[in-house]
Amino acid sequence: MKVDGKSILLRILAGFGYTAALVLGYFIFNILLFQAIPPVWGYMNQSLINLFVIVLAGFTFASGFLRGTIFKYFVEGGRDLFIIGLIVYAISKGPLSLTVQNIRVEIDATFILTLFLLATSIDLARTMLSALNYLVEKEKL
Amino acid sequence: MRVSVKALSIASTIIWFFFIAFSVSLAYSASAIKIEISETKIRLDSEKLKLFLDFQVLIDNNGFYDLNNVEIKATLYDWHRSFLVENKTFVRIIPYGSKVLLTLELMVDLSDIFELVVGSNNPLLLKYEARINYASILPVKVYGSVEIMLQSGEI
Repeated sequence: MKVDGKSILLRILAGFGYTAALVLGYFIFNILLFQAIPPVWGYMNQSLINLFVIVLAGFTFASGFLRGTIFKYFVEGGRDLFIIGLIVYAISKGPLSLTVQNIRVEIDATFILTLFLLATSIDLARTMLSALNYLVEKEKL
Repeated sequence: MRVSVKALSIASTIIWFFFIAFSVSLAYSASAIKIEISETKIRLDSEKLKLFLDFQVLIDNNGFYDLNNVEIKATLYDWHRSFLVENKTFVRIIPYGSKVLLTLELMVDLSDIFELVVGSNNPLLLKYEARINYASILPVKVYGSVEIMLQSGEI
């Protein structure tokens, strides 16, 4: 693989492009959700959600930067495992709850989180197969 | 292997698109549900030494999904948090686009504790609990409580 200034710049641009798309998507989702459920959104742990998006953006940048190498699949696998870990943690913590004045609301999102776990597992399988495919094709060349 | 990777990519994209669209529609739909709770009406029968409490809950489901197994329970405790009375109301389903008015009534015999409750600083505690199975997949519980001071001149 040729490594020069131009290719590194292209990789950085690709990484920024993917990251910008992710951050833009998050902002749109944030605005839509805030318009839909402002009272609930205000009580959610924004700093934790922002941290999650920053970590995800880091993985996305690394994935874009390392495209065309086997390390891209390591990063994508790591991202999927990170998301799976978070979902398992959220499920194990039980219902989501928030208290507004003296009213406590509990939402059991286990079913939805399990659906997301399934989707992320499929993503992980795809990443692993893609990595194998990359190695096989590299071997052929 | 390339075909299987492509197939998994397509499946993954479709599944993510479906889940995200479903989650957004769930959140949007939840915001369209209007719940109005009336003031708790308190009536004290000084002759029979009985207390009557009632309140109404109007649920207007303007969302996209049904509300299943809607249960509202109210429990009344004395100032020592000892159980006095409870009542609950249940609706099997509130389909989307419909309204339901739920009424909950509580009647408690205060003959043993009348003087300790009425016109004193011993408040009664009304705890309420609502359970709703939203869109058949999202159980939601709401808990709350309110203290009730009974004045001797209560209607």
